[in-house]
Amino acid sequence: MRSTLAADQPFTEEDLREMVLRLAHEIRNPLATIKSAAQLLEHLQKPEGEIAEFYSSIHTEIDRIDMVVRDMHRYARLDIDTAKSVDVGESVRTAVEAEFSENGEDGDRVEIIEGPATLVLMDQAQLESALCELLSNGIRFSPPVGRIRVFWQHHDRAMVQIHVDDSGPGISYEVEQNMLRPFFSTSTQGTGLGLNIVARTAQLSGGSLRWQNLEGGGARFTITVPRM
Amino acid sequence: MRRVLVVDDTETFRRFLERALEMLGYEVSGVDSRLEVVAAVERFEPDVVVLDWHLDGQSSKDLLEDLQARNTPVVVITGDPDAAQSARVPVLGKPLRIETLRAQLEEACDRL
Repeated sequence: MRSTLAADQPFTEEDLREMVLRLAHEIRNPLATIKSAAQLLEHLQKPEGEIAEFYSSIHTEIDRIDMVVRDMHRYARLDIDTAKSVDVGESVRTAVEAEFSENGEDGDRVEIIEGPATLVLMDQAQLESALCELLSNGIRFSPPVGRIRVFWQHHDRAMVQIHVDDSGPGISYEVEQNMLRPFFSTSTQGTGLGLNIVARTAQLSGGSLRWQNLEGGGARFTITVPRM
Repeated sequence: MRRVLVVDDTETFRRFLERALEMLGYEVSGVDSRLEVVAAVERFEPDVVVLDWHLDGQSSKDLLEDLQARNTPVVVITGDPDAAQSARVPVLGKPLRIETLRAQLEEACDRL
């Protein structure tokens, strides 16, 4: 009787989230073993030529699987209630520092236009991660010397909009129709989950993610969330 | 020669990690269960412990606190870096780059 009752329990979103977290853990351990084995083999006999290319492919594909698992993990963790009062300007500056200075990108490419002092009720790490995702996309889709602009402004009576403008080709109709489909990506570097994570991060705080093409070129992505 | 104790309950991964660290010039010992950690530390007297954040289905937070109380440097490794945010020691996500681990081990030993 007890097992029949358990089998009748509805499969909840919490169950799905737990399953994704467990799946990420179960994939990462074997990946770690494969990567360690490959590194050991390389250390035992330094590969050259074609064999070196094969090892490089092993590492590239491991890193790619790891990136997908990491993003699945990030998505599954979004509902964990760790919101607190967060300064928007501080989060913007932290995200820009992470994407430009720490990743070796040219800091002159980014311009932060300081907006009004603004507090929001969000998980700070998730907000900064969302901003990093938009900045990373901006870098990826802009030409090598193209500029990225980040600014925020109050909107309506109770919201703040955080904008990330790039100098890329803009968003085509086809891309726009598929942008929030999980694992859809126009780049070999992306997992196709990044914008989903940004949108969900904003939605969980009572906000939204919007985008538009800019007159004169480029695209603007806007996170809108309630102010405190 | 610096001594490293590897604590991880995934046997194949632990064996590869132990072998990699030996090839980098460390004296290495390994255990795969939380029950063996304290005895291994007392017996082997490692300069640093590489500690998997999830052992035997549980968080290693209590083990970490025990090791820190003994002034034993620790580097945490984990498939879930977010879960180990409270660790207050270096945390490396799996899959690892061995060179990154080596740099953290050397830094942990030098801090002693």
